[in-house]
Amino acid sequence: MKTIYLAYIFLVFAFLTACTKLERIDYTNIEEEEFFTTEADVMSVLTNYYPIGMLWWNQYWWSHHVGYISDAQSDMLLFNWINEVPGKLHRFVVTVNQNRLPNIYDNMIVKGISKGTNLISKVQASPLKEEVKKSIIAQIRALRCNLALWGGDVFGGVPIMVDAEVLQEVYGKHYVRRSTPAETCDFIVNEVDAIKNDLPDRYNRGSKDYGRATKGFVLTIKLKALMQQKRFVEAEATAREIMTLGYGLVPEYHDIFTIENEKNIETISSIPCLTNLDPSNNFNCEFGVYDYVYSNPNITPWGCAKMEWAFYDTFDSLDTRRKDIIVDYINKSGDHITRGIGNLERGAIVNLKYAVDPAAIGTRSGTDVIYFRYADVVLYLAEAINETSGPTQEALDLVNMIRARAFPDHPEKLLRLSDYGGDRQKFRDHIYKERGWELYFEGWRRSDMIRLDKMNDWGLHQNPSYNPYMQIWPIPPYIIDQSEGIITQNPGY
Amino acid sequence: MKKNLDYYGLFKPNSNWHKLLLTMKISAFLLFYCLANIFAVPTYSQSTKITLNLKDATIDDVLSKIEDISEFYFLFNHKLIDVNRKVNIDADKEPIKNILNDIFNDDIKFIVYDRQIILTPNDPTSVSAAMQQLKITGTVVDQNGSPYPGVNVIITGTTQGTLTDIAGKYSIEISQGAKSLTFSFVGMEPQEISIGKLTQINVTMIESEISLEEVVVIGYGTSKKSDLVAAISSVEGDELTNIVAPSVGQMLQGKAAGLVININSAQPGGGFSFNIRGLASVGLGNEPLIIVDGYAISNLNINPVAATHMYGPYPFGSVNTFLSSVNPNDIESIEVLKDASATAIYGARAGHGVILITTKRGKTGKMKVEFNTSMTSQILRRKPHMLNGKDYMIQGNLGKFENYMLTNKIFPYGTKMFSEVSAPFVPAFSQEAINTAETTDWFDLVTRKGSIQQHNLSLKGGTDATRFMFSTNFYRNDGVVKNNSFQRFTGRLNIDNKFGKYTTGGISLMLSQLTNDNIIAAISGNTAEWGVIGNALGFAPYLPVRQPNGEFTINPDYPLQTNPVSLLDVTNVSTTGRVLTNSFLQVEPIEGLVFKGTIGFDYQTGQGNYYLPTTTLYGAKVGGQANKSLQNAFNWQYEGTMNYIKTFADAHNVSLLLGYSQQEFKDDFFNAGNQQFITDAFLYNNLGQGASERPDVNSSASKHAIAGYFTRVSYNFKNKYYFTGTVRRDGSSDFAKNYKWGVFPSLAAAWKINEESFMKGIDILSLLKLRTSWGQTGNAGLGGRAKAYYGSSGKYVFGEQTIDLGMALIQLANLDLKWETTTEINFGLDIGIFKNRITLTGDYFHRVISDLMSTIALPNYLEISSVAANVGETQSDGFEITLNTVNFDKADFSWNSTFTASYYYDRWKKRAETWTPNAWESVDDPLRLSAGYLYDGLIQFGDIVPWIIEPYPGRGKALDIDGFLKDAEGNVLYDQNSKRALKTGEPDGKLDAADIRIWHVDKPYYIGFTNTFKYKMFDLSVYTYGVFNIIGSGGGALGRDMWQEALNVLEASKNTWAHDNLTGSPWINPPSAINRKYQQLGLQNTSFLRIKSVMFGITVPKKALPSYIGSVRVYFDVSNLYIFTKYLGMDPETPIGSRGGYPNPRSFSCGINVDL
Repeated sequence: MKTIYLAYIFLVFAFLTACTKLERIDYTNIEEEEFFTTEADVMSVLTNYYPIGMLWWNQYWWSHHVGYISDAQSDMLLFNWINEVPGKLHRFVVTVNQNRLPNIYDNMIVKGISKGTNLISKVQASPLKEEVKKSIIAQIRALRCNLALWGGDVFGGVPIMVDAEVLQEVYGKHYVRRSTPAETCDFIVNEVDAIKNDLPDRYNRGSKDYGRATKGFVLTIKLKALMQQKRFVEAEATAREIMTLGYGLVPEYHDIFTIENEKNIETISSIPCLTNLDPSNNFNCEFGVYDYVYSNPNITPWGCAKMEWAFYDTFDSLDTRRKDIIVDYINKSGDHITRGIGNLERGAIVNLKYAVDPAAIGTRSGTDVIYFRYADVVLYLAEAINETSGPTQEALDLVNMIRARAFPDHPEKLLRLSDYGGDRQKFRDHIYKERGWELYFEGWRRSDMIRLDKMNDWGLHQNPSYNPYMQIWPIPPYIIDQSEGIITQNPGY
Repeated sequence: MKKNLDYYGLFKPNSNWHKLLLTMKISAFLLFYCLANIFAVPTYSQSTKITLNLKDATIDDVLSKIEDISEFYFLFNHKLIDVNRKVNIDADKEPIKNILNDIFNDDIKFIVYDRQIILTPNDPTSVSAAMQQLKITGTVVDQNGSPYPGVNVIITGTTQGTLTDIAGKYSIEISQGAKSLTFSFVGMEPQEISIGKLTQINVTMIESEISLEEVVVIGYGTSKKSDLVAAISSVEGDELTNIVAPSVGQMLQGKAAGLVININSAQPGGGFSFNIRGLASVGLGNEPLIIVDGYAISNLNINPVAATHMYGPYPFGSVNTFLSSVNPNDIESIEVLKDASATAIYGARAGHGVILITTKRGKTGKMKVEFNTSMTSQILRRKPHMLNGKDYMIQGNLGKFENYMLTNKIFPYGTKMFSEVSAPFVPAFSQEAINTAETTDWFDLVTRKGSIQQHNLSLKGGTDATRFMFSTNFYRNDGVVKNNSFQRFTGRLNIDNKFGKYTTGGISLMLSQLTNDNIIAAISGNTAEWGVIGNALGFAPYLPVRQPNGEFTINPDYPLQTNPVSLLDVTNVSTTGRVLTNSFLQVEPIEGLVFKGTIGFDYQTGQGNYYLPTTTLYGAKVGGQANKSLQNAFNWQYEGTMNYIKTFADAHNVSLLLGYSQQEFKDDFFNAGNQQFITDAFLYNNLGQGASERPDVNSSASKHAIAGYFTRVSYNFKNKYYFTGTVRRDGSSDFAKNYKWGVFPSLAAAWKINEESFMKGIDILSLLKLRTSWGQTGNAGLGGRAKAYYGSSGKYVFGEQTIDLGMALIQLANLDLKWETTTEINFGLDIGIFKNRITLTGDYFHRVISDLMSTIALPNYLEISSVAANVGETQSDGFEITLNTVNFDKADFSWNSTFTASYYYDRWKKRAETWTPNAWESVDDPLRLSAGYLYDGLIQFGDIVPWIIEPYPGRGKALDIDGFLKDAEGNVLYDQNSKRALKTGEPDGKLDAADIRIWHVDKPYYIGFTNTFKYKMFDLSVYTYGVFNIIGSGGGALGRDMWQEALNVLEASKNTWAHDNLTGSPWINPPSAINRKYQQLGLQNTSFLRIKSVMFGITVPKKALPSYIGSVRVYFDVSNLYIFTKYLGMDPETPIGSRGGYPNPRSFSCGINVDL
């Protein structure tokens, strides 16, 4: 009978071990309930929100903020791979099924705004000191405004979800319609006015917080929103407010875009880059060409885009701002490449606008990417003054501030009020040109062309079946389907 | 940059190789220990005790009773032995000898020969004088020529006989009247040899080919094949080793109906994916559960570097599944459990079937040594014909010229004349360049002849008490792409031991070490990410490999593309060691009642080494990148079962199983990396020398557990009516509190019609059985999806170069998540005709997977776009057929065929509530379909197609067949019920989602057909495998923009459409370049029928061999001899993506098997 005992022992052993604990532990992540308890937690979430809020767009052939893609729609940026988004934007042949645009609309802008709203409510509920909360929330709201600005600009408005409670309802469907560009502008104006005093005017180079949102940053967002909406009186006031914050012009144009001069006095906002981190500045790579001999041989140029020759030809031959544009060079094989052949067949090469970073490796350079700069604000102010009361000497002086730097040894190139004789349109046209020469490849040409009514001529030049609706990008159809029609397509598509 | 890496992984200190050596030492010790035991163990007759209490019974009754309750059986001549005499017996656990002594009282002599007892009269005079004794001797051997002990040698027509001894020898005395001897053994063909005047008769036993009495392994037990109620396919180990193939996965293709094996990449050690009866899980994997000798393999494989794909844009080829670590020679059988009746005993993890792998174990008898070695040479075939350097330039110029005409609107693209265009045409290549163009054959530069060598040694043997099996295997494959290899060492030790009367125990131990030298083998994605093969096909042919300064050439017209030869410099060597062991102890206190406990663990540890040198495009980008990663995966399993089998009243056969099982898992990962090295020479061996400001460091870990209780009751009435029921209750740590446990039941019945009395007259039908089953199972592989997590996400720089690290909500919780459930109905039919010379098994199934574990898309305005959820239902239908025929069965010539066919079709049944259909979708769509615009040829000059943007002549034309219904403001109207956009059914002058139609639905069927011929000493086996009715994309280098992206194209593309070749193909020139959008053009029929293996073997005649060699077989094999397909690319089986899948090479092998 001993065998039976043995069997009993077996049974007991078998069923006693059944007390295993059924618990999963993921040691690499933190469960939601345990998070948002310290300031470090909150700051890390804010860090995550910065590249989103600055609309940093990373594709294998393109790594910049979204403005650069919008530039492809202008008369300036010629994209080599004609079937990619920038190539199609340039030809005005984007359809509703265009790839990569849903990513910008949905993942970057709409979700980014909602994420900001969520974070604001979570920070508010966190056990942090009130002043700390205030600063953090102001930064989140600033970035959220930037997202709304672009949503209004390129997509003609996105839904701006500001109700955190709705966002907590994961399984509900609470689609709201897209804010119109005008409403978007209102939203930005209200938000900026509410938070601007919670933010420092500007950070100096060396500050450990350099790169965070400032009063200058949010006011520039507001300025751009107002300019797009042609609310020039308020725009003028806003620009003047920015003028008081201590920004200035870097004496030489070229020096704005060098690694030595990062975080300079002209920079209102820049996207910090490192050679070994995303974001990194890919300007030399994207706009560079393979057979050019660079001072830093580690640079890998891809030749994604060039400057249209027609645009290049608008520059004054004495303009120092075109100094860094390559129109003639000896290539790696020793051949002399001139306009019309090889890599200069279709356009000029602009990659040296950002000076070569000696430490750059491959596509990555560490020079901070300029986002907003003072010269832009100066020209906006000139334009706003012109629209409200111009042309005036003050407006001309503002433009001449910029021109004096562009033509350092040629005072004859400065504008004279007598040349305009009260012709607002003439001065408006000049400002349009000046903005192009000053701000080329910085991401603002598309909105300038639309605001200053230049897009239609350009569109027709590019595509005989151009229609003004094509200025605004299409809404991804799946979004419309999901919302059961609450989100509507932009007219025309 | 490669520094003799080939054997590097083996000899470095602390590698797994040392562990393997140690294990081999231990194994050798155990082996000798076992051998020493062989002769010291009591035999069955000594160890067996019999309890018998009979009154007034005839000797005949007593003997049959003993036969019933023990394994003894009696051989005697009724004429000589009086079995009708009545006796009384009262024995309590007496040895057999005592009992026989009691009943025979010295008048009968008996000889106990293990389980066999021969009775003869003690008085020699009682033997009739006519029965003059004559002595015949001889040796019985098996087909390999090895001695065959224990064979019954009986004088035909009598019960008089003997057994062969351990050397296979026998000696029998016969009377003069005897005409012949019959030699028999279970599982062998009985042979009758006439005596004539012979005094020596030697016999070779031949395995009986036609037996339905073979035993198949089922979950937690075994069953006679003829008693099966469930749908189970069984593949014998011999059927696998009859094929020369890289791994068990390839060997299994088409062998078991219903099991589909898709090769992801045919590279050495390449990965493959299994599925049983379809791919109807949409959010979880469709892989079956693999059980090896009772151990559930949950972590199929680790692969420290390649699995993460986190370094640069180059994805590596897919490698390593669990079966990569299995030595095919060790496999006794593979059972594929298909229907719920078979799988429900494995509950929550069996939703996609179960594969049971049983390894060989030792057998009582003489030690058997087998040595097997083979060498293989591999070549690539179907190399695509790409343009040469000169033609590339000519075509490039033509393309550019066409584009020049188009953009400048020159007639016929427009109205202008050449003279009216100011900018002249600049050709891409000058006439001089064309005249002097050279051709670099990139494909040849990155490929080579491959080779495989394989060596296998196994030892098997044992006594009644201890049996063992030991094997070791070495396999190495150098691939047809340079710098690509796979190497495997495996060791196995299986021991079974009997401890006394009631207890047995044993272990199964598997050790393996795999070394992959992987290559970049991206098969899709951006050109920048293409792998070696894709780049070799697409790289501009006029360019030299290197520039004069020694650097690799980059295509100046397309600098994003990596030089294919430079990609060979990328090093990715990973080494994975594995110990899988499972031990059991079982007690059988009373007959039929077995308690069994098993405990085991599966430990994998792997090291990945990666170096991306500066000579590659992306390596240059980061100044070289080195990574080393370590990964451990450990899990242990405990199981306890109780099994009781009993027959009541000779009619009611009952068996009951109760059990408990639990498994706990722990995984961890560590990786360190650096960039910006001053030299490529260090590879990954000097991480500290990288100058990256922020070197890669990361690590992760997690643990989880599962547990389950299960029971099975089987009943059959007189082997005629069968019923089986199982229930398993499983728990998993991956669910929230209220949903941790799930219950998975099944029921099945079978009816053996041929056993019915009304069928008795029909002799040709040896088996006719109907089966049916219903049951539910679950699907595992969930991961921790019930909880909400914050995880690392994003970085940003504030201030001067200080990097701040971000955290973000990465997953939303779903506390209501519950098991995905597979409900399956199966109908089966088994037929055997002509004494089972023809057997047919057919199954039809209908499977519904409900509570599909997937994600639901959340409203797009939410921060997180999806959450894990149980969404909708899918359904699959399909059938499987297995037909075995013995076409010829003569002593000298035999021919057997096996044909398998299977088919499945997966469809949606119910969609998620949040599902918003695309315009072309319906609720019950097939799971896999391709849809798009309908292609309608090329736009010719004069065609007006306003619905196409940029309707240039030469572009593909899609049909405008439908439009959306819109309101006055132009917004699309939706049907409130179906939530679908309403369509007009009329062309609307726009090409949009309304015009999209389904092109093709994926409903493949799979066939396998194997023929085996034996003629005297020769054998031939032909194995074919085919997949039909599938469509793949890409044809290998079709439809890419040569002019746009400066990629090479097929030679056939010379006949491309142009203004002066209006009937040309829509391939490369600029206007039609955009055709790649109309992917319908790129779809190709990827159906194929492959002659997978033709093997010819010669067994050297025994007499030609020295006595110490048991048998020798030499074989030759051609694998992938031919493929029948319409597909234009290299290999329809591995075409994924536009091009560049790793094709199956053609292999030539020769090998030798030696048995000692």
